[in-house]
Amino acid sequence: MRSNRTRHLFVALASVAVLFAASVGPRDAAGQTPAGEPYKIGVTYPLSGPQGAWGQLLVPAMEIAVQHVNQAGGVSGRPLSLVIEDTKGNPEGAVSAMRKVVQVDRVAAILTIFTNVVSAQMPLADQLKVPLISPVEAPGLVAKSEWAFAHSPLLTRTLPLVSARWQRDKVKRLFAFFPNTPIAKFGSAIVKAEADKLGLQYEETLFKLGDTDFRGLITRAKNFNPDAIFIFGHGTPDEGVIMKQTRELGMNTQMYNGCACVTVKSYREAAGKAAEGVIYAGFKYDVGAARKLIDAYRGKLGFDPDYAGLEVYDMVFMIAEAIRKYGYGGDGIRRGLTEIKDFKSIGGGLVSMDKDRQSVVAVGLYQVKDVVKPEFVEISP
Amino acid sequence: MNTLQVLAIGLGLAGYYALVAVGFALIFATLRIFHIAHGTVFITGGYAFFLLHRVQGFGLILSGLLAIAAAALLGLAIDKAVYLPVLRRGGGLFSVFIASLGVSLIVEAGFLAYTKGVVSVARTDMLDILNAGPVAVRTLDLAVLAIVAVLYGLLYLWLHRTKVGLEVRGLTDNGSLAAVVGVNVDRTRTHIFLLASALAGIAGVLTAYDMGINPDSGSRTLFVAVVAVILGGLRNLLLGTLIGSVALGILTAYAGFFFPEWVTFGVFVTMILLILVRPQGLFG
Repeated sequence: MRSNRTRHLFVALASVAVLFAASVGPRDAAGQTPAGEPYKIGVTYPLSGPQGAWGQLLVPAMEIAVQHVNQAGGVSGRPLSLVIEDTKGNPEGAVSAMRKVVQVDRVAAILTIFTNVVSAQMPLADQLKVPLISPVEAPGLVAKSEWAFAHSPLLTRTLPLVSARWQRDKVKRLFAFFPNTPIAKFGSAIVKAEADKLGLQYEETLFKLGDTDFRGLITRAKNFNPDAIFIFGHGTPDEGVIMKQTRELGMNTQMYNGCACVTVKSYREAAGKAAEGVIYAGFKYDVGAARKLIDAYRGKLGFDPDYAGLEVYDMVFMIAEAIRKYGYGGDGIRRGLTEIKDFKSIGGGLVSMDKDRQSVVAVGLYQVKDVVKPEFVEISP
Repeated sequence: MNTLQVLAIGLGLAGYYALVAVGFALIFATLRIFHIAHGTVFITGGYAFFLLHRVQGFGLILSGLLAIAAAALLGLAIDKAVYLPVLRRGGGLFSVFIASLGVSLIVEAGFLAYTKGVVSVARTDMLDILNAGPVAVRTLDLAVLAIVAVLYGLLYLWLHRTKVGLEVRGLTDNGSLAAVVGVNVDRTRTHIFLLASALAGIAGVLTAYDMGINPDSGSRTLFVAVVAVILGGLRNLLLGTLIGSVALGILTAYAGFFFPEWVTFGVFVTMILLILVRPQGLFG
């Protein structure tokens, strides 16, 4: 009798112990709390300096992505975390930041940004065998390194949508603005080639980043009397100021943008009402599909994320998926990123990586309807 | 080339330069201080206006007045807290210049850290324009020119019809003698810094409203204003700075049209040529 009671008590206690153990500790099932040593992703972004605003806008989107990954159970039961270093937006700062996150913090992948920065980091990525992924838009840049990836819509993909519109709107004379930075070289070549293909009369000018008065350059555009003005840059407020000053010099010419830069808050604030009516082609941004990110971002910062916020959100999930498939290591993550096919972007389209490690993203043509709300409406080319 | 459009742009720019230049000239002519921090006072007015009007939502006029007051007080504070102590400790005017440069760099770095270098534009609305043939003239430019005309007129009256104004002119002519004959140098000095800084503040407010302001807008604008002062000379302070500002406004507008990346170079060359050819300026 006594031994039966003891046995029953033992079974009851063992059951409780099993149930208790099942409710805590490492889990693999989605929705359960990930635990253990986190998988670290390095972030080398400008948090200070002239381009610090980009870091301030995009790091929160990455943090939200990490939060969402972890809320869904992490990666193979383990949480993701970010290790963030300030590059100050220059190559020297970027290399230093990269060394720190890789050699001290031991991250296995890096999120980074800007053509001049990525160019400086690529040789180090090759040496340290750490993949890096960025939203750079310079065609062929990441093809130079086996360890560099880009997730962004290239101008070669967005411009055809814009130029289809030029044909539809019977544009004959085109004036383009580019910043006096490395992107002007490839941007100008692509736009000029398109203008030649369409038989347009074409002129362009370079504007200096950080200037506040572009009226001299705009007067050149006014002299040329264009049917269309095309602005392609880094999404900095300078471009918004150009738009505003164009209208204030009495030009009502239709303006076009080669990227979704007008979705950036500081850009819109600089442009004001002058941005309304602007037509741009860029990263597909379906507000319904991106609701989860938009709500979280707005809760954190008080306004909606721009297109680049969607790109970096995607990148975190891409890395997470690569770790899940091939483990946490440079080689595995690189393999996972290389094999990306039909990845569902937070912006609503499907993404695949091409042979040069440049993502082929869904793009759309949009028009700015309301710059304050903001409201961007997809239109047909 | 649309010459008239470029000219219209140049005259608009001249207004801003005139407001900054006359304050700088006033301080330099009377106290011999190369007040490089005058550019800092200019951007402080601009940023104060941006913060009050654009960020906090205060009314346009109230924001402007408060921003101008902030600029005026900053200018005075720089003199009382930096320049006077340096002078009292036996530092010469060169030490004051270095201190002024230090203040300028520190404040500029502060604004850069706060704004991350992003342009701060105090309005979202577009300006009204008047079209006169091929030329679009912004109503703001007309307003700036009107403000400059009124302020210069008031300055003239102040310098020639008030006791303080006479004391200022006395200091300009001969500082040591002015003190001997009973000019209250400290009080006059306070008036000069308050007035000059308020004028820079007005320019800062208008610039922040118009094109927007960057941390380095102060040094860039001040540099052009200094060249305007050199061009005009100090003998006829008001007329000299006005003519110099108009000339530099038109020069920078044409440079912005033809060689936008060489605007600063063009202004530098102008300055060097002036110093070589006529160092006393147009009016001596």
